[in-house]
Amino acid sequence: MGEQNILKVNPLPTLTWNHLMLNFANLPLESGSQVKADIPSEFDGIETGMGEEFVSFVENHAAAVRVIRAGKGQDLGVIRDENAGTSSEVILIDAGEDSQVTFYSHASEKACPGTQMTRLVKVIARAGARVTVIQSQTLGDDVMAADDFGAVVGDEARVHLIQAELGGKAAFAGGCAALKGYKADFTEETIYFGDGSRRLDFSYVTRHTGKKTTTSILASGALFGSSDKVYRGSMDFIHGCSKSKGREAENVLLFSKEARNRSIPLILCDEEDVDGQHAASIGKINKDLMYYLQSRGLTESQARQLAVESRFNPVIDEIPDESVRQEIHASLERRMNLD
Amino acid sequence: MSEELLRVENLHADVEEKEILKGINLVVNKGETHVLMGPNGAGKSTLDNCIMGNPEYKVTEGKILFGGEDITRLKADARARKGIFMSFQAPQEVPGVTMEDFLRVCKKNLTGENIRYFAFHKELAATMKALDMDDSYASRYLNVGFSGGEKKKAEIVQMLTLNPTFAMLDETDSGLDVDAVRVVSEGIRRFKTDENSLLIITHNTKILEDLKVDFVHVLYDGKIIKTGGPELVDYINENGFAELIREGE
Ligand SMILES: Nc1ncnc2c1ncn2[C@@H]1O[C@H](COP(=O)(O)OP(=O)(O)O)[C@@H](O)[C@H]1O
Ligand SMILES: [Mg+2]
Repeated sequence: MGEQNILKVNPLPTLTWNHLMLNFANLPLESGSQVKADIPSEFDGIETGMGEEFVSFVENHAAAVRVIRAGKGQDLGVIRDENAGTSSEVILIDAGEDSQVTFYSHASEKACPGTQMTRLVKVIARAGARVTVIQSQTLGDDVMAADDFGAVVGDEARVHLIQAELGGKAAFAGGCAALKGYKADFTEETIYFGDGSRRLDFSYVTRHTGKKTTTSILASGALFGSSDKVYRGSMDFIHGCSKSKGREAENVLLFSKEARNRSIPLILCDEEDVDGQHAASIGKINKDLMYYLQSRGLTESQARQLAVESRFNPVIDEIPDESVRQEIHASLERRMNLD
Repeated sequence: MSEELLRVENLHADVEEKEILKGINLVVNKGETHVLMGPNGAGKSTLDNCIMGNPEYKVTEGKILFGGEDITRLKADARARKGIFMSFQAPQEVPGVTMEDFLRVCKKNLTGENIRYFAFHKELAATMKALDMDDSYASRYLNVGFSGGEKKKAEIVQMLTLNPTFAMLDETDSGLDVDAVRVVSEGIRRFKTDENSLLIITHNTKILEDLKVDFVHVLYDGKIIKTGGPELVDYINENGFAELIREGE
């Protein structure tokens, strides 16, 4: 058995007094054998959502490293992660000018034999590139899960990140995009599901430096049992990023009085000519919707399940693999019937 | 002698502690079509909701029998499984769930039978076509981005698909243009058999044109103040409710 490490992860971009306890999270990970991953230098220093301690841990214990390169104008199509579920993996994507690539990694309960799963994806999206990264997991209740992401987005490049954290003893996830290019765009969608005593901890950061950059960060989740969620969403408008826009929206359904839900939206602004907006809706399922669904013969628990799925489906539908989508639906169904 | 389907007895109901229904008596037999009219705020939608089992509406006195069984305390889903259906005045949007998936789940749930995917798909497409609704709506999220009229048509598609024994239509015709009212009316006529019954709330005679109406009730201030035959619809169209209300008082 490895040694226990406590990593400081998911840091807020600026430490705040009012969120003293939530400026970062502690992630306990066991270190197995040290394997220093061979990381090409162009990926050095890419900021991720979970932060430096996590990146250095994963890079020093990587069981699998994969570098994906798309040449100029090349369309690599959809690439599946064959190693999803291994204890620790690093994926590095260098998307050349005007190239396209979609990478998805789904870790199911079956695919993960251990008690720890960490994934790190770093992306360089050069001018005009289109990159989509999907990290999803439906791990068992004994697995510590962590998904991290970092991207540098060039001129008119578009990066889309989807994270679906639907299982595990605890799930930590983060994402960061440095929007350096003119009209660089980053879209991030998270869905999460808390049941039992699952702890969920998220941090997303967008750094706007290019002009007319755009981001949208969306999170949708459902909390059951005594699950506990912390969500940090930060948009950082840096001097010179004029006409940039950021949208942040969070949607949480609370199904239990014991569930804990905390959110810290943060807009940092060092540039006047920008537009950053945050919206949150926290609540129970709309009573009128529940009644409507029940009037069609669905029981309360079926209606509840449908309402949760209706929040998640638009995101799940983006996963380019029917069998993964089905696995996710089956997992959610099982978990909601257990409740 | 005709067979009784729905019996509402001395029904009193509150919304937010305020009494809205003040002693409703109504019997609908199998095969009958009833029309419920009355000024805005009279309690028509409230009556539908009480029959469907909306938990927001508290029945304080009286009871509702369906097929001879007291359903006053049953939840909405249990009533739906007994064959009660309501077309909503303001249908809910269900993002993330396509109309087809939704109806397939509901149908499976109501019938307890496995629904064959392709047969269901074909049947739904045919139903939608008959209602002059593009079948691409089947693969869209239910009611999301539908216009007011499309939502109302989608309610009728749901009724035709789920095939209830007792259907309540709450102002299904409002928000529809003349042609749409005609296709909806035609859809309702196709639905109607000797085995099922309808309770239609409307302000409009057009939707009734293809239908054989058995009884018309006028609801005012939480009470049925007048019951008559189809001629009452024409009377109200010409004279409004004022005279009937005066007589009732
Ligand atoms: N959900 C509700 N909350 C508060 N008041 C309501 C609600 N539903 C109905 N009411 C009130 O009950 C009365 C009857 O309403 P309703 O049944 O909708 O009338 P109708 O359908 O005949 O126009 C009105 O005064 C209305 O304001
Ligand atoms: Mg009404």
